[in-house]
Amino acid sequence: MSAKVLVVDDASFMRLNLKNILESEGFEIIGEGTNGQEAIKLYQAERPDVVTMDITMPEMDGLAAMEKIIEMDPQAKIIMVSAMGQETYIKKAILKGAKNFIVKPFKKEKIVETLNKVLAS
Amino acid sequence: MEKIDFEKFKKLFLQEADEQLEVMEKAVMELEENGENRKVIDEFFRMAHSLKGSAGSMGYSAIADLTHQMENVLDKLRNNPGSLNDDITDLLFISIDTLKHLRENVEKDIPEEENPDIQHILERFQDFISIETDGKKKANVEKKIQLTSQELKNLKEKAGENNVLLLCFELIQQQEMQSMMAFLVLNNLKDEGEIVKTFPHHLEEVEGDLPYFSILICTEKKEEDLVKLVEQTLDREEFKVFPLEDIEQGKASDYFQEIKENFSRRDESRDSIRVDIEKVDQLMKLVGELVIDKERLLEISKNIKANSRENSEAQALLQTIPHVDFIATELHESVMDIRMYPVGSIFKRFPRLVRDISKQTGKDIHLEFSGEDTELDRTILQEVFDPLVHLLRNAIDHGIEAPSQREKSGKPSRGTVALNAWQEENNIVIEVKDDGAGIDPEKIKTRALEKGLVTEAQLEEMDQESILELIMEPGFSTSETVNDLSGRGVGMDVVRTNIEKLDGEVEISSEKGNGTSIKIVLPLTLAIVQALMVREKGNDYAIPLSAIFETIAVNGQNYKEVIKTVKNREVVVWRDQVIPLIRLSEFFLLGDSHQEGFLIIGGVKGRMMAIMVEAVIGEQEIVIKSLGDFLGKDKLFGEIPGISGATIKGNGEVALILDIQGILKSFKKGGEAIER
Repeated sequence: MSAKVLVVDDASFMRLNLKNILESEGFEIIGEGTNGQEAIKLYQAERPDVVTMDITMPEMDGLAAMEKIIEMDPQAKIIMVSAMGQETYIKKAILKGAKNFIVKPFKKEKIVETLNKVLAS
Repeated sequence: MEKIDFEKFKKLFLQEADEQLEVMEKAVMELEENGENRKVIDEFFRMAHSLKGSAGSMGYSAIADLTHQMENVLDKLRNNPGSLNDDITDLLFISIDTLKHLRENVEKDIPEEENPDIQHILERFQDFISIETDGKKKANVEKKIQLTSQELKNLKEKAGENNVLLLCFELIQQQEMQSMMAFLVLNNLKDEGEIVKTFPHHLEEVEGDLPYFSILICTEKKEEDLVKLVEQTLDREEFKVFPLEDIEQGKASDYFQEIKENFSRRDESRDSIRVDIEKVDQLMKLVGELVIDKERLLEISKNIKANSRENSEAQALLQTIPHVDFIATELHESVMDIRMYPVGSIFKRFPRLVRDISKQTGKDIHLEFSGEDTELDRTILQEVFDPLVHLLRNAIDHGIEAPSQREKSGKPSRGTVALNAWQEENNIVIEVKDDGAGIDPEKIKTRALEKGLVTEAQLEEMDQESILELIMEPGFSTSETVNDLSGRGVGMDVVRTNIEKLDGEVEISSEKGNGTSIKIVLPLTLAIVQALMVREKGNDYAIPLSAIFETIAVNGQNYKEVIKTVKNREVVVWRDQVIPLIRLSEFFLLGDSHQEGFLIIGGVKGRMMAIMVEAVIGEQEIVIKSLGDFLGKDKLFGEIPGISGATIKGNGEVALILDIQGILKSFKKGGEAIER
């Protein structure tokens, strides 16, 4: 059974990019969120195996959304997607339960590998 | 060389020379204070060498000659450990001073022929270099990074049934933000046992490249379980695990050493670029303008929302504007971050100053630092240098007693002056603290009365802190002798004025006999702040959010409950405190106030007040524009207390920024303030 992934990013280009990469590797994209609030709703509805969560987004940022999701489901596997230089956010995310992080721009192999590692944990 | 190019090179040369001289100066002082140290000499040598190189290529021969001799003597020191003496450090000090002088001449385009004669200095160098030394070389023992035997012993005791494991990491897959990977691994391991030690020491605080790091953990888990856990984040080839026995036998230490060398190499070549500060200031200005436009856009979008529900292009615009808002805010924060400088950059200019003052005054001073990494906006930092110099001088000149007197009072003959910095919420605090004689409140009282700064009656009512603060009143000076250093009566009030210009405060505490602490409390940053916009008599005002605690709506129903009259003065009872009420319209002489509106509860340093306004408009990011050219004595508008600047609103109109501290102060002068 292929793993279910929820992709959250405010940039449609980034969502498409992730979707293409992940689908070609046999993951199933069960939803795409464009901000933190959507992410929470989609997580509740779809219960994905893993979430890729952009940090900087309008409305509610990835950090806040991640916290809310982990509150709902302490087992949630969330991978933060960050731009260079967002160390402070990543640290906060890790302390609050993010399982791993990916730095944009990312390589295909890197993202697949990270997802697999997190799914195996 | 073309003229323009030459100017550019000259500028760069001067900039670098400043840094090189600073390092050299620090090095000599280090050598003087702590004796020979190979690392310090090496660093010194390197700086002299690069200065020689750049001076040579620019044709500044005096600088090149002098640095060449410095290089020689340093090389000699390197080859003959133990030969350092006071004559050499003195000579090095003289050389650095001369270099500074020569550097000034370069800046002022004074021709080489008019430089001071440095021949006598060069000759003194020659004397040293020609002296034969016994030529013995001390073995240079590089200590390997190991656990001390005590640490090992402790570990073994702790181990018992637990496993003590050293995990050494070498990140191969992860190329970006390696330090965050380290943070992740460390965070995961924390749940599995006790982290005994890490390398680098503060692993969780490192940022940027970090290809090598180690974690020593004491855990109940088996080695293979720990490996599995780490494998959830890293590849197996990216880390090695050593059990306690390996550490004891030194097997791990070689690996550790390798890591350390690699790490320090990395550390030295941390990626950075040199940018002219004017460019950053320009960027800041542009971002400021952008923030104004952004607020304007937000304002427009409110109207669009109301009027153009049907228009799809208007709707598209509405979706874009929040993003622009968001990006502008992020951009602002990023630029602010670039402007942040560690306070250490000015601290390091002080050791020399302190050395000179202590020689002049015959006092033995030890200067301590802490919090050098604390960052502050560059503009503020520059402005704070002179006040700090003054405070340091005061501390040494007035604070620290003469060595003999110190011994009499049972103190070490060497006085300590500490420069400390730290962050406290949205403020940065810089403290100058000494272990000297402290300030005698009785002397201050007498003096203040003599100078007619206060009346007896006023003194009666003042608390300790307010009495100490009298030393910052214009015309106050307790120094019995007027000398070069301080005590001309223009000291502390200038310090206070300068700090208040930066929206900061000066706090004094002192214990007679035990020393004095003077704290400069500064806002993190100036230019752009969050503010609450309020309206009174058709004008909008901005109040920095940092000074606001609460807003309370006042209407016919709660008016009598909230606002009371005590001794003919209106006051507000807020959280069990009685605080003065200021009606903005009356304060600015705009006419009679009103019964309904909002109370803005605000204050600084525990002194609170309530400001009555007609309406609260909302929070907004404001760009502070100085009114310095118009406000103040002999300026167009004269002195207007209570206004610290202006800002441009989203609709393009100007709003004045209220100065809470100023309002409190002018209120206090009127004798109406009610202390907490």
